[in-house]
Amino acid sequence: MKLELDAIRKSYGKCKALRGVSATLEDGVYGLLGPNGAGKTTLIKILIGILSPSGGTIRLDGKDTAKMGRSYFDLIGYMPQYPQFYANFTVQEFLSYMCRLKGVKDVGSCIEEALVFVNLYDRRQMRIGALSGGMRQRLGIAQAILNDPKLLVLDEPTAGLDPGERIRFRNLLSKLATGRSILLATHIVSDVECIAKEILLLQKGQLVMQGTPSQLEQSIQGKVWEMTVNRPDGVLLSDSYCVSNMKQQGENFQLRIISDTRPLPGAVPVSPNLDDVFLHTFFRHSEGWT
Amino acid sequence: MKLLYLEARKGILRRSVLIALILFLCLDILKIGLDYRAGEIREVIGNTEGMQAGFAEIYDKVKGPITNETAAFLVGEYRRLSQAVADGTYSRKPQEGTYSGYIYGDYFLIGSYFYSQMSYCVQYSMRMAERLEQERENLKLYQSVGNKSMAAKCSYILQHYADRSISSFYLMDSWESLLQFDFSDLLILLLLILGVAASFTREKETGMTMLLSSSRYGGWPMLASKCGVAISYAIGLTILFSVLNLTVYGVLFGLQGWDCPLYAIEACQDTPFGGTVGQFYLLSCGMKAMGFSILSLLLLLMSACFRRTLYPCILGVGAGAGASYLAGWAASPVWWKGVLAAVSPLTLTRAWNLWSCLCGDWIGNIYFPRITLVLLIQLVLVVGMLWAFKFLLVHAGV
Repeated sequence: MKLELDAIRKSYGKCKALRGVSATLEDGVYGLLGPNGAGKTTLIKILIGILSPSGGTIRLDGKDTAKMGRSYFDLIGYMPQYPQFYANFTVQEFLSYMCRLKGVKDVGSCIEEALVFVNLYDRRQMRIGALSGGMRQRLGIAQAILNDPKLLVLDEPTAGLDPGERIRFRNLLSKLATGRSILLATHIVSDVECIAKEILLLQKGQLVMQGTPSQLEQSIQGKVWEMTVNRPDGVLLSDSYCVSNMKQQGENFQLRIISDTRPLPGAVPVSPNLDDVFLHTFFRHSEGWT
Repeated sequence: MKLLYLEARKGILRRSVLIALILFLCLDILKIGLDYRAGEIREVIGNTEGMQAGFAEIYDKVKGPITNETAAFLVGEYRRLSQAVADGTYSRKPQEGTYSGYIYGDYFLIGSYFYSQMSYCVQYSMRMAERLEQERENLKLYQSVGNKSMAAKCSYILQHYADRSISSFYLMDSWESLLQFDFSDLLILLLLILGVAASFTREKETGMTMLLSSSRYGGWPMLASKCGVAISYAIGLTILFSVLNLTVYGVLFGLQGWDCPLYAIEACQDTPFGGTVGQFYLLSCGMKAMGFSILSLLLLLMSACFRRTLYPCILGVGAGAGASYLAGWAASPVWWKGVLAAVSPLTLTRAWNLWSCLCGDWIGNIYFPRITLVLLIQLVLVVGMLWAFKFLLVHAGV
């Protein structure tokens, strides 16, 4: 499976939500990171076919998706942000409903497979209103894979989950990634750090960076520093530098600072992680940071 | 079918709606029961047991096909009792050989319930023949002065009112009350709002809109299933309440007289409807189902326009009240009131207003009953709503 985005643009009146986004997605998990207002939701809406781009083309295995009509929907699965679904439906009823909407032929076995995959088979007669947040997210995955999609788009899938559920969810995604592309839009960097094949960084409607996690980390090599300072200095530095972590050590603080130059003589360069890349890309120049 | 069922499970087959439905059905029975006990449908029910027994005895003797014997019996009894009470010297004490136990009670029963109704039935064909003769003369007059529109109305009357007669005698007060009973319409309206107003807002509130839109059958097929469910719900409610009302009235009064012509009800002596009372009840139920179906589509459209369920609910109550008010002008001779009434889907729920008397309009020189105008405007309304749905589906992604 190969999905090519070629100079995708989208404008709402004078507001340009996407400014020529180009990327290629193949099998595997792709992380889509970006601050609020970066254009993630617009890109997702275009990818799942409910919004037409103002310009550019999307090709799926070489075919222009705009010319595929509603058959394009057979190839995609989507899981919305904060899904609540219908509280009075049972899990089985909801999946049955989604099968009808997706035009799935073998409803019974598709539902069973999806429920077994997300480990909700035993809860199939439970009302959705009685499911926990984690179960509801897994149900979201189950409905998204009913039609065995080639492209799976997940919007903030781990929002509101506890750490245990989040790890379980990541493991599910890893299993799903064979033979299909998964685009995972999130604010939570750790969600994509372990499982993403590549990460796309979107800012103000533009794709500012795309690469594997190690490539992205490499891009800010030598710009992440750690140092131990006392409390007044720590407060002062956190106001003037982009601090990605602040750890208390007795009376002092260990700061992790992102800066093009050594912030203090005692600062030592350390290996960057994805949080550092995220901050460096999106927030380095905000709030007076140097 | 499964999609329709699941769509219904979302909004209608919910515990809250089903509980409301059961409560409203009980309320409907209670309302008819209270009206019955208070004597608002048939006055004698609120009277003494003796009067009720007398009423039943006389009614048993005269109901059914009108024969010389039944007519003569009523005329004879009425004359006898009129003479007996004429000078005011009649006995005020209970008397043997009377129907109700009192001589004045008998006079009251026969005079109020039977004699006038029998006179109406017997004289109807003669009075209608006179009316038609008058219309024939009017037709000639209008044709001679070139008034084609009024001539068209006369022709319509001559076509639809010919050969009318009433051959059976039944007290039609219960049918008249049943045909005008509109308390259940209010309950249906509230149930419609409860079941339909959240159809689209629910999708928005639960974050399902994008998910549905990105499904192969999440566009028109889903909209069609929502419309189908709303219409089925409206029709189902109308049938349920109509059968319930008929059953309760049947238990309280009996269903005798269902095969009498509608004009056997004195208030409908000028009706253009030539069928029986039973047929008219079916017609009025069909019209109600149509009116509530259109109203349910309107509620669906309101639901598609808002993000929160509260707004279409409030607007639905307002629209229901407004439509009900406009429907009150269904038989108005003022043209703009007639047009406004025709815009209201609830006018279709007022079959009595539209059919109990001759109520029509002209386009050029063509005369047609008001119901034609109502149906035409409602058709335009439905087409307009479908267009609005298409617009919302394409441009707003509901």
